[in-house]
Amino acid sequence: MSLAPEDDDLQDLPWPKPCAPRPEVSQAIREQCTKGLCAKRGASTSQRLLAALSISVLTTALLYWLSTTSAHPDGAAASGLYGVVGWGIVLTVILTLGLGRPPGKRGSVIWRVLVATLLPVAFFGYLAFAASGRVDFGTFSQGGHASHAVRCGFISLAIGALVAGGVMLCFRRTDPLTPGLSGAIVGLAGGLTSAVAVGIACPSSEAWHLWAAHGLVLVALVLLGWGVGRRVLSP
Amino acid sequence: MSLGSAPSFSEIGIAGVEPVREPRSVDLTVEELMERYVDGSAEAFDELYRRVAPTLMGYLLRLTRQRERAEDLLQVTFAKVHRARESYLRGAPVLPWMLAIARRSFLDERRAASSRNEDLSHDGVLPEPRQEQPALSNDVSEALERALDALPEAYREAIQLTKVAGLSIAQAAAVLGSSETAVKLRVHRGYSQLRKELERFMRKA
Repeated sequence: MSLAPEDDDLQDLPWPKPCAPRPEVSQAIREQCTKGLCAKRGASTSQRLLAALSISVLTTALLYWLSTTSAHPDGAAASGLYGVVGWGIVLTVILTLGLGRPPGKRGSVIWRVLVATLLPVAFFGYLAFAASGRVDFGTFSQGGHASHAVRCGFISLAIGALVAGGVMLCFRRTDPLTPGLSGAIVGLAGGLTSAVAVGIACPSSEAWHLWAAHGLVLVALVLLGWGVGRRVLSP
Repeated sequence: MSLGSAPSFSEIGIAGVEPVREPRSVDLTVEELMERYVDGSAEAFDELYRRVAPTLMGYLLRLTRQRERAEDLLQVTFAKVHRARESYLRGAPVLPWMLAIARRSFLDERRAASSRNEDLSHDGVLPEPRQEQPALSNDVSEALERALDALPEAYREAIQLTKVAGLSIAQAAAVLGSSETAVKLRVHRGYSQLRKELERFMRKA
């Protein structure tokens, strides 16, 4: 992307030249950065990506195994498996496109912002499609419905935070350019993992429950990832 | 026979085959130098510093408008680069990577200063000791410096990164955490203001 042609008339101006720091400052920096210098090679982008995917996949697999060994009918477990496979593909694409290349080569900011905002919206759509019934909000907000939703929401949040935390540790200090946005992508990955994995184990398919206990957690984890990522992913 | 004076295998070479020589630091790109620095080469660090420090210093100087503060932030920036060198991902463009660390260091310092209730100017920059304003000279470069300093911070940063540090629009957008269109717009608007300031200077001169 180049500048407008009318800006060319400023090309010939005597623009300020880069200026060197004082020699004593340079000396101090050199001492600080070369004292006891040794090879300190961290993991490559693909190794980190593989570790991040393993965390998400293993968590989903573990929760899927727990749900199938509980008293769920076989049909529910089978349809849950389709959900896992589908969202697993989405998750892999998100992590690969969001974090699979070094910072500065990760695609446009707008594209990644769209992913971080539109996918939670799409997930709400998926939950609406997956819901098999709907009570009125007054009934949902009291008694057993509400306490079940709160319990489910906390479990989803805890599992999502664990997964997102693990992925974030894999990419710790790697992105000074867009740490908030990369954090949001990590939060999205954690949120999707937990929402799908807990969704299989959860017996409720009521719409309000799915939106409040599974969908909102995804949004919360994206926002949480944005905030934490700015600290953890930045050098 | 003294082994000390014997030529090495690489110097002898094989008939018809050029000896393999390690490329000198000056022949390497900054990304390759960063790789070698991560692998523990002090010589690579020296060359890397020689190439990027003036650009970083110029950028920090434009942000802070104080030489001492800019040099302090340069030290902070290199300390962070040193600590985070193991997490440098192969292939990442080094200059935008370091400029983003420098910018983050500046913003952190400014936030810390404002939380200490230090007296900040309207654009959030620490107060600068008042210097004697030199008499109006015919020096265009001086007029350009003043015009740059008078620009809003967003425009100044965009122009500094693209024009002085030599980054592409895409790289500047990555450093500023914004879209390419937004950076292009800032540069264009900054140029418009610069043009007005310089025209005013020309009329006075």
